[in-house]
Amino acid sequence: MILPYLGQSFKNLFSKPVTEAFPAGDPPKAAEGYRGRLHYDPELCINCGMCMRVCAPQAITREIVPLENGDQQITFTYDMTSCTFCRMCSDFCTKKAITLTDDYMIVGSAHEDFLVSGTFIKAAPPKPKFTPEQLEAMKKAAAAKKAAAAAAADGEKKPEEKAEAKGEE
Amino acid sequence: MLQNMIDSSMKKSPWIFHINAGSCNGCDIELVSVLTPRYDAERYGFKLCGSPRQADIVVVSGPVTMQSRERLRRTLAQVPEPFCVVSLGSCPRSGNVFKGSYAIDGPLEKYVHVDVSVAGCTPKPEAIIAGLAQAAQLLEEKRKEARK
Amino acid sequence: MTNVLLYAVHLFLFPGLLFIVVMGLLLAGIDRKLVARMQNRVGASILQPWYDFLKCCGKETIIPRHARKGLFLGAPVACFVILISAALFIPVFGGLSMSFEGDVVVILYLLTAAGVAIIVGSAASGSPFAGVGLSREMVAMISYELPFVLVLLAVGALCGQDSAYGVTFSMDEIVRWQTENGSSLLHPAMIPAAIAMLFVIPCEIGMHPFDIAEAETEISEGTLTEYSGAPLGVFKLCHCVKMYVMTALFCALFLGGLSTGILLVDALLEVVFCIIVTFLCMTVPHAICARFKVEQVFKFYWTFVSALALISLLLVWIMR
Repeated sequence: MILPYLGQSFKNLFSKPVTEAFPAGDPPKAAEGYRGRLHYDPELCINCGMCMRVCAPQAITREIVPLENGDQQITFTYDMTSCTFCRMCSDFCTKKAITLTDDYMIVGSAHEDFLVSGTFIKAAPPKPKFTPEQLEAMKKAAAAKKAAAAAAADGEKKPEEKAEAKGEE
Repeated sequence: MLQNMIDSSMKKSPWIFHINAGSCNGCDIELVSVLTPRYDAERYGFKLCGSPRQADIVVVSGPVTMQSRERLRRTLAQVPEPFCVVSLGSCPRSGNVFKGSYAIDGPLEKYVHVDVSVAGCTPKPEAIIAGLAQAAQLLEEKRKEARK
Repeated sequence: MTNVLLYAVHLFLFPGLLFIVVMGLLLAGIDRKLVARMQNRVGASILQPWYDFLKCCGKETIIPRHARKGLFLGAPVACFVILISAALFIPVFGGLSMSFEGDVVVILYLLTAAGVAIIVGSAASGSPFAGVGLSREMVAMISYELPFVLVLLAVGALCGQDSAYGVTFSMDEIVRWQTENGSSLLHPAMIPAAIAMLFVIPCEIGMHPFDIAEAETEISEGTLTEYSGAPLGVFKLCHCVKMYVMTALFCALFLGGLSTGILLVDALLEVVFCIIVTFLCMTVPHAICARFKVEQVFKFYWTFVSALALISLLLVWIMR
């Protein structure tokens, strides 16, 4: 046939158009497994920095602000205009703090519209109980005690007492 | 009254000119699919035109490569006022995975003010339509500003 | 005094400027909507060509450095004026026109002159794309001109068979003959000519499958490459007006005898028939065909379409 679409075009003329109503209504749902705007949960993050390492377009930046009490305020910023949506960061995140949602409407004018960021405070590690000097002194004391116990064991040579001395150490 | 009619028709017939500044062809295909029966941007008057002289919205895709830089600059200089620039995909805003390459001279912001950006790699056609509609609104505002 | 007033109304209102422009925009809008529906889309509103024209008027007009300014800006205006004056010679159903002996030839000349105005404008713009476009426009003109003349000859030979020369070149004469003897479309000899004319119309206008001169993807709009702003809008308007001129010409040549005598009904009939002709010869090929190559257009018109027109001409000579 010379004009293969003639019949179809006349059929279309009297049928309902297939066009989606989109800008009039809600945007349709994305397909399953769609990788859209990133979601970051700072409560789960442990600041391992793995996402930054695996990100090919270097879309992830980290800002560390030390606080007065020794804690650190850590901000991760994910730049959606730089992201390739490969989901490597999500896959490598051990705490599952990063997930990719199905929100594909990433449209805007200002750069801030495209940034996903989260802040959390990383508490400083607990302070040690003893200072280094005290530890040194304790070590010396323990060594002296051990030496004394060894000297005492040499005199008596009783297995029970030896075991007891060891237990005390 | 005629001026008001021109203002309102500004957003009703925005013609698109598409510049490929070294894109991988992903965004280009999605832009064309916006005009297919399923998404049909033509109901809002969008039309792909072949010459920058007739364009209202310039859509740029791709990180700006060294080869396309001069062409991009010359094409953008030919577009009559008022016009909008829409960046399509992640590449024009940042360089995406090509960031830091010796062949890239981006981002697009260096050459022209980007009015609307559609992020995604590649963006879905619905997102592109939303971005283009936003740009069409901007066109009317720009025309009104120019008249004052 | 009333004569002058009537003349002014004739020129600017009813069959003149206003009516022609409104009809052109309406036909273009309907064509766009129907094409969209045939491609299973919603499509732009019917007022879209009007919005396009207004928007073009609101844009900045850029004149390229290498362009001849006068010719570049004069060509669209010339094209528009030529088309309007061509439309004035074409009778609306009741025979409202500025007819005189030999106006068919004038219409033929004016339609060619409109094409030449586009060629001059694009040549003055100094762009290589426009150069390619204008050479293609010339090929298109050569292609459709031969069958077009043959069709006009066939109609002239049919309607002028009682006249002194055996052939008439007067629109009035053609319409009068049809009023007396029925529409020429009902005459069996005229059917091939009508089909040929239906093929000539889209190429004359530059509608989609035959728009080799304005191929936007191949040669970036071809003849219109360098146009922007108001001149572009005028060219787009010319395109719409051409649609009305050609469809009205078809109605006058083949459906001329259906006049009722009441002006309003005649005008409405004209609108309806113009829409039907537009649908048949422009919308359907646009919706189902891809753009032809340059040599395909040339071959198609000089073999198939010309042969149809020629058969019609021969049949008229045999049957009378």
